[in-house]
Amino acid sequence: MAKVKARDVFVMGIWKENPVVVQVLGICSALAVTNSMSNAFVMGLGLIFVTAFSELTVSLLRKYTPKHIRMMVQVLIISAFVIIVDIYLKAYLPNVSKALGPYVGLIITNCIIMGRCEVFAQKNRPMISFIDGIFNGIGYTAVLLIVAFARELLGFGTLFGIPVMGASWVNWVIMIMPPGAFFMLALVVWGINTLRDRQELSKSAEEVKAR
Amino acid sequence: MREERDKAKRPLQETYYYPVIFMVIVTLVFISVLAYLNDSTRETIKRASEIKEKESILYVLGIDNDASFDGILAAYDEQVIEEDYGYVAKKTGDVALFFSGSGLWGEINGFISISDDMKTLKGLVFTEQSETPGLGGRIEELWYREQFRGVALDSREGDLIKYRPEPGGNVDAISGATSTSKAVLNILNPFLRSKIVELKGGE
Repeated sequence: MAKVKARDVFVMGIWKENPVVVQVLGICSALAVTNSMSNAFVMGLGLIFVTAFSELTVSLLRKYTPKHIRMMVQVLIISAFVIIVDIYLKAYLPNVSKALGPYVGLIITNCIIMGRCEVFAQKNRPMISFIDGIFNGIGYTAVLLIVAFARELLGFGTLFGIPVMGASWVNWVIMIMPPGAFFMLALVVWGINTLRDRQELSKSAEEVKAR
Repeated sequence: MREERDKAKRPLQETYYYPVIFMVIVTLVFISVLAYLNDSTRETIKRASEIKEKESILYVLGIDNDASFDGILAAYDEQVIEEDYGYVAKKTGDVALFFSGSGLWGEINGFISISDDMKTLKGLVFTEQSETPGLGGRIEELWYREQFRGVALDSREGDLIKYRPEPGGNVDAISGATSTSKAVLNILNPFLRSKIVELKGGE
């Protein structure tokens, strides 16, 4: 297997193969926690931590793990790290833990983690797997923050809980309700994919010219 | 040569007991790490929730504190007496009571305080709720909770707290969150009624 470079991992995780926008993974939580920026941010941090360390551990154990029980091992590893995050939040950030409620535990059901463990960590070295986890987590967090930015701004008139829209602003209640998440996420996915397609088109056009 | 090596390797990785042993070892390692973490943070978690509760009690009783952990604990020890029926403020005689009931999606818990003559509401705080964020969840917002401060509890028949514009209404509901607003009053009204009777009877 060819060695994967850190720079490729970075471009893949955040732009070319963004887990949410391109691979359409982790949609569940992207819809659920994006009605406020601070919730989306903490969720993103949790996911970065869990993905990075799960990939690291899966990669460390990849040579000793029997192929047919690898899924079991991955789920075990992921759930252990999710519980660590949960315990940490409960102990040191009780308010955040309360605000996120059941979603912390649900990090485990985020397909991004399992997907990256299976596709990447299973075949690559520990260090690069760890980096891959971080960048995929950041790619996910970035999309969440974009969606949350629009939803919180329009729905509450606030950003990170700080009022920014002034007193005359009328909240768009639909934006903080579940349907608002679907609208916003779809718009973001559409927008980013169009941008990326254009970029690739112009790149290939340049190549044609160069010839 | 290669085949031989494969054969030699196969017995361990592909025997029926290897996956079992591997799984057991991995599980044991992770369980012990988690058990250790859980054990070492148990005290911190307990302390955090205890402080949270005391902070809520101080808030409904209207006792000032500097919001630091030690400040809350000191103010609580100094100015609150724990009775079997509730938490009493030393200075004013106000009583904080714990209430619990079902909201739209889940349980709503909190503290409410009444003056010592049982004629006025003194404060309201929710310690646990899982209402719709941005709608029912707004019962946690200050403007909603603060309007309960100073509501007169006359001994008339019917509900003690009502939403405006109903005749005799004394607080505002949250627009867009009718079910949760109703649920809050459905918890508080019978609760207050029975508590007032209970406390008065005890005197």
